[in-house]
Amino acid sequence: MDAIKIESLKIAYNGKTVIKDLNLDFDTIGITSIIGPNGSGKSTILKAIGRLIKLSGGCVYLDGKDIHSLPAKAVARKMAILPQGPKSPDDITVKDLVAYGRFPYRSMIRNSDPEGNDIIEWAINVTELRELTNRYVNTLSGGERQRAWIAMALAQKTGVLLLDEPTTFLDIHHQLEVLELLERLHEQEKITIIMVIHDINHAARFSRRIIAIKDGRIVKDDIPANVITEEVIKEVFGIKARIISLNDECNCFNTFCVPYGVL
Amino acid sequence: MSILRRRLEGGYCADYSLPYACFNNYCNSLWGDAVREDAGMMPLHEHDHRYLKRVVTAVAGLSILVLGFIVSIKFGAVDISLKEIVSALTGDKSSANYHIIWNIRLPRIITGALVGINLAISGAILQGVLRNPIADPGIIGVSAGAGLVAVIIMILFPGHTAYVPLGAFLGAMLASMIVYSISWRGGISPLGLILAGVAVASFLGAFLTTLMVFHSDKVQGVINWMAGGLQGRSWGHMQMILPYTAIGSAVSLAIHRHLNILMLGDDIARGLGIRVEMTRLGLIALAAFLAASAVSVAGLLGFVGLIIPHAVRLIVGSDYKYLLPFSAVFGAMLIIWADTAARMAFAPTEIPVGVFMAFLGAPFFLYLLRRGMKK
Repeated sequence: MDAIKIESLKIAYNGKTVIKDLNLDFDTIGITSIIGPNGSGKSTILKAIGRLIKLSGGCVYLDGKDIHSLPAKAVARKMAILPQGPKSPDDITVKDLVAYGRFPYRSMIRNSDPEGNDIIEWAINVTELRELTNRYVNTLSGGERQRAWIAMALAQKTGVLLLDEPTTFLDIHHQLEVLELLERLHEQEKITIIMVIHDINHAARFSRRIIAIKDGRIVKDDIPANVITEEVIKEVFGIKARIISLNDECNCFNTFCVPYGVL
Repeated sequence: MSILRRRLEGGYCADYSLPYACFNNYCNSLWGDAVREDAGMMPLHEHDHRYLKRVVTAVAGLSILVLGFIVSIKFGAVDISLKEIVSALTGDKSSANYHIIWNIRLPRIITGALVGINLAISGAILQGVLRNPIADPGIIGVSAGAGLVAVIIMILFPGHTAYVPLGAFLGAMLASMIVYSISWRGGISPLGLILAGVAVASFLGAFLTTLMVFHSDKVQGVINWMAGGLQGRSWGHMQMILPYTAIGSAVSLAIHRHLNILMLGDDIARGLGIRVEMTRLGLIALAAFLAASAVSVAGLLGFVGLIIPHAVRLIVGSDYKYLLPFSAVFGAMLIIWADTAARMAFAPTEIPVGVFMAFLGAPFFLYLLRRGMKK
């Protein structure tokens, strides 16, 4: 994969510093979740990696190169980002939307994307949108729509996929459906996934690594078992929670966080 | 077929000149689908009901355009027979109406068509860049700037009316630059640009009105120009606007993918590798050039840039691959027909084509608004 490295990152909005001196490394394939309360700067970090916002200081490296010095399209061929709650025009079909993911491979004077159509087909199949190919995106259900946007990001054929709260506004069934899709993409297609997510238990269930953020700094950055503890949850979210461990055959997931009150 | 397919899909045409390569690439993107079907691959238009609609609309649009062209040559102060039109167009100078066709009607029709193309493409670009379905060239200050400078020349320097087109063009460009720069705050927000455009337009409009009040004895020609018209347009006007039409439409077709992706929002566009601010500036500048060149030869024509792209979007969808060429065809068509009607309706008095189009345009706009409200 293409390693991502953040060095002494600083972000300020309207003169107010949100992130200061943040260092992070993503160098192994895996699913990483970033958790934290509202306004903690977790989405800001994701946007900084995805070069959606201007940095006030520091640097983001992709494969050892400063992301802002690389051509924009070259970055888009290595790293895809799906912002929160994207909106499409009324009359765009699933197929149209997924095809837009090939934009970084096209140029104004060359039609040099021979494998484009095969990749679009692959992205539609892997997100199970085959039957919905010609439906307008706006007529889809929330879960289907989110899968269509993920398919667009997949059509970029990148090694890294960044997602900002991919399960917001979805019911629990569709939340799990989207997360299982991401898990499958990681396992089968070896895509590195970095996502911002609200649900602590979903983070624990689906990620190999969790980064807990508060007030723009990292509180804990470790495997789920070491992040989902009463102390860390208390410090990050300011809540009282019980951590329950189950000893059954399911070795993939046996730690639950049950919040029961604020501090 | 495999040769054709290689030709279409492997089209690496860096060795051609740029406009040709852009056009060739654009054609490949239009016809590539048919080739795929032929090769037994997944057809992109499978059950896509829009495909038929687009073909029918293209055929209908082009037919009405050609018909409008013929009708517009035929009817006027002198009616000319079809036989005479054919012989004059094929170069037979002996025909009595040769002069009327070649020196009066033809330049007027072609200039009108180019004005329509420019305004329609300009409106289509702005509606996408500003993500606002009722954006038109007036919104970036083009009409207000062109109007003010043209009126200043006509009223204060009546000996220099030959400079009206150039002045209108410069005024339009200057006004849109002012609108763009006062709405810049580390970036452009579409809403901010629209608000700045409204403010600048009313500010310049106030100057214009003041000028007309103080020189109310001289406003006769001014009113005609401001209503927009094609009366007496010659080959010289056509030459003035043609380069803008040619370059503007080639460039806009070449970047139709950028327009599609800007419609998905700034963050998605950045993620896909677009430099959003630079692209937006380039597109707004392109729209300003197209609209400024149109108003410089035809005066302040309203509604074409608003209605045509909006209506075309309702029919063929918002994919710019189709929206741009269809807007061009329908823009040309509307102006040719409206100009013919404006000449004929109260003959021998001509009403300015802009007035005529506003008569048609306003009800249509209300219809669109009501339709939008029902949704």
